[in-house]
Amino acid sequence: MPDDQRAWLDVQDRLAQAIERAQVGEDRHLAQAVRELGEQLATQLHGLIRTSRLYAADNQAFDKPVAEFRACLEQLVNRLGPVHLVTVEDQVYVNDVRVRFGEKVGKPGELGAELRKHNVGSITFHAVASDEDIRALIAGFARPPAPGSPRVALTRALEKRGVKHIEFGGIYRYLMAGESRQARRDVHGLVERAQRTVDQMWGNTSSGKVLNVLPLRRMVTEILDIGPEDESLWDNPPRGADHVAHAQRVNHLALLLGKAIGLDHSILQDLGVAALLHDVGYAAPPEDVRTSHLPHIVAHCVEGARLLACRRGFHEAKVRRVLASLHHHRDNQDRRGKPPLFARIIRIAEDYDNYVRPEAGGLSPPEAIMCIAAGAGTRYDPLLVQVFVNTLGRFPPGTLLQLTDGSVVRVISVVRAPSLFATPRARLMVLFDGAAPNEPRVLDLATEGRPAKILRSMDAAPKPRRYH
Amino acid sequence: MPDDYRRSVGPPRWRTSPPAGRASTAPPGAGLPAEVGYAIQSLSRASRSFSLYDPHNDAVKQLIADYKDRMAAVVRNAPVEVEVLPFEMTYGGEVVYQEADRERSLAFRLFRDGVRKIRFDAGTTWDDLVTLLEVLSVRCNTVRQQEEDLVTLLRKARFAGIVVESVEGYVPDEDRPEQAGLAAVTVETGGDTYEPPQDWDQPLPPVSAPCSVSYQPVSDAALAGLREEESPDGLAQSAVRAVAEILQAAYGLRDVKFRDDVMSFLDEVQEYLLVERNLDALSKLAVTYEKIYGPGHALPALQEERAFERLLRSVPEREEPVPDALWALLAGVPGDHVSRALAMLELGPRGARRAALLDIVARGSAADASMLLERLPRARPEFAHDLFEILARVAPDRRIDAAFDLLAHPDEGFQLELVEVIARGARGIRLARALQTLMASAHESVRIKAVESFGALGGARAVPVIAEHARRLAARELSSAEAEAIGTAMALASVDEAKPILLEWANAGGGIRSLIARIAKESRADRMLTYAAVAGLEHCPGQECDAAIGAVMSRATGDLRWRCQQALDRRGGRSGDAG
Repeated sequence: MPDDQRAWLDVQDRLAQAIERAQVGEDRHLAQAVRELGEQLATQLHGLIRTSRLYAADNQAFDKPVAEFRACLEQLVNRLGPVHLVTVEDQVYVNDVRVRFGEKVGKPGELGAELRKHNVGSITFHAVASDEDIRALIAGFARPPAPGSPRVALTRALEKRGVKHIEFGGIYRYLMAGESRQARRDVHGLVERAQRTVDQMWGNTSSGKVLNVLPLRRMVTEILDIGPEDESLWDNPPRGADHVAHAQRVNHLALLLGKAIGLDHSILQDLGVAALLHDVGYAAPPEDVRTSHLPHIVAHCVEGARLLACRRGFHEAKVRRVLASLHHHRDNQDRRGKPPLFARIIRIAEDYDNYVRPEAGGLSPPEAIMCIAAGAGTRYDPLLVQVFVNTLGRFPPGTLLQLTDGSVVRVISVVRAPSLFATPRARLMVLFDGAAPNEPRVLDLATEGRPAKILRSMDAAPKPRRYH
Repeated sequence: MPDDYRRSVGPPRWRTSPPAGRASTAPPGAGLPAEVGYAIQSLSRASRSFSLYDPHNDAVKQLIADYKDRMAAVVRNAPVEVEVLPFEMTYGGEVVYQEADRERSLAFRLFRDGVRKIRFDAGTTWDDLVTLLEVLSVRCNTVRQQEEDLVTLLRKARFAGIVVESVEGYVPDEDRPEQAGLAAVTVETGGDTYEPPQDWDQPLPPVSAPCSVSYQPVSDAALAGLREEESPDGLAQSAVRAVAEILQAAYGLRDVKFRDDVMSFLDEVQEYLLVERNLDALSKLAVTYEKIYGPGHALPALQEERAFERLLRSVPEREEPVPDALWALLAGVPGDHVSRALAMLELGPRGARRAALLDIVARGSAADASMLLERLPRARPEFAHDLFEILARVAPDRRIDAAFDLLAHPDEGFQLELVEVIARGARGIRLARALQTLMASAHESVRIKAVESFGALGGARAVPVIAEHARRLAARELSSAEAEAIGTAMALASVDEAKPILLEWANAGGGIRSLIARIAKESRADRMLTYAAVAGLEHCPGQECDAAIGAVMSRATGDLRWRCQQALDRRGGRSGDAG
């Protein structure tokens, strides 16, 4: 065959294969359902708000549309758990899936515009709303926005009418590529959002709802944009339910380690999501659990792999998650072959966090990292352990140190340079005289203060003195 | 709205509804903006084409060729930056593409998915352009995936010369957040809550003697080795491992529901491996599956109706060895492989795939060649010869049955082979008809061989047939080699029948006819028949044959004269001029 004909054939083969590959990766059934229902929900909500300009919310003109809206919402909640409707400029997203709101009639930005009048960018339905709740929602949007804090006013108005499961979020905009998130970051907000996302993920999984990876992936991306080594993240540790906070911390540690070994951005995203989901097997609905006869340390690995494998749509990230779930406690199982990289990373991150958390090991971070180091070559990959040690340092973030002058600090930085391996930056918690600091202060232990003692908890620290 | 809450973005800067009127086709202006517009249109058409046509269709090829040509103009003038708006694309502020139909509009699709600019730099390669087309085709033709959107796919593409500017997700954007005011308002998240077991993730690994830690540099090579574990090349292996381990778990649990739950994952991995044409990995999966579920349990993918075709489509069409893994996989596919292979050969496969299909036919026909014999007559010329060769290996004595149906095959070598087969195996009227058909071949070598065989086998009845054949050929084009063969064949078939005709051709009669023949120049046709006559008379006894040859020699020139001399020499006659 002439070379040019062969070249064309190769191009056509490549395109055919790309489409086939993409079709293997899609979950047409679910994605279509979410998009269709999401579009319906957004369209109906918009219709309700517009109709409220003509009729009062309690008018019977709303009987049918409200019932339809409730039915649509119910379908979505049953599939996905809490439903997050987010408007961004002229687009609408439902649980991070973009829906085709308004495209058919040429009015894509109108719903967002209606919500923005009340400084609302998103609405979260935490449960199926009753007809009364929906009418209250309509009535709220029908009123002119309150001066001052229109979103708060709207929330209070709904609260007065007994609406408890609808939550409003602020305005969103798109972030352009290359635009730094640093300038606008709200780390505390990010950690809180992450906590809620992970908590919802556990709740949804335990009730048999579909696992939606997109919000998790978005959360991981935000952390990567800030940088897992960034002090602000270590300075705002997760504080939710133990298992939720553990997942967040394991995610953070895994990203730190993954970034330190130089993994590509997209692979880091996959790693973060896998770390968030590594223990999801614990949340398997009881009626679906088939491993109850096994120790839960083993059972949750297998159940987690099953849950992750069931989610439709082939993707490399999914393969990695399944393997990570199966292998992250492999020394309790009979697993052969070299553990996959994600599993090795998550194992270190998880064991480290379990050693530290008070409900489990209760060790200090330096003690925990020494335990990890002791397992290098047997339980843990020695190369990864060394990178982990090089990154976290002698006094990992979270370490409570009493300095020679009696003050107490909490470490908030990872290793900044090899020469600073044992001299991180730390937030001052208690002054030398036992007083609480008047204002936030961070010390650089490379230049000021010297650690005298490692404390396992603030209980062991001198209590800040009160002056009468 | 209070000023404090005025959105930092403000109203959209672009049109959010489509432009009025029908979509434009050619963009305004001339020169580079027009070229850019044509290029964008060609990209749009090509990426949408897969919803209508199979990627291997000629129409698609034309569209891709057009895209290549159009983009060449853009790349020649690089850098070219195109801004993406909801319904338009602009270059240098000028609208170069506009399409109001959301289903057809490339601008709309790109904008909606977050793309805001595309820049083609001087380093843009054809590979970049194909990759761009690949990504857009996927988006135009599949449902949005759960893990990757258009922007992610474009980022992963790692273009050499194309830069894409896009949105990177959305972020909160408020000048004055209302968080503080909301703190006092609680919303019941309701929904489902979850509590893990009290001692989850325990027991912890036993705490051995802690080991002191210190900074130890880790080499780049070592880190590269770690990263390499997650390279795309390892995905197939990882996928096979993941599904094998989870199936092992299902089997170990002896739980049907668990197994059923994970079957979808097995389906996906099988599908992925078939799409990636990775027969090695699929074969490993098949082995693992059988190990887990017992001998005779074949992969579900191999039990499907289309399994055979899909496996063979996974064999590349390049000139390379047939993957060994194919045979192991085919062993698990039920049904008639020979007829399916013959059907696939009709599609004109090349390279290893063609070789594999022929091999399947050969293996399947070794025990029973009836299907091969049945289909051979209808086989396309491109592979009929190959099938005939298979028949020669698996059932040589049955070649004669097929040979008669293949006489119209255009290939010269194959026709020569058919002459041989027929001459060896056939008799009577079938032989005569077959050889006559081949005597009419477009290839001289085949005609020669056929007439020789006809002469050797046909007997006296062959002579008039060959003579008529010679006259027809002489009227068109008859070479001396063929004339030679004809004359000889006639003589060998029957001297008694052939001699009078040969003598006539040699104009051996005396009188005015011979005189005229000496004076007038012969036509080419007559000359060739004379040539045939000389060749034939060489084998005929009698002095009149010597005389006839001599007479021809006396008036001949060139190679005919030389041939006459040769004939006489062979007959033992005297050389020299007759008159």
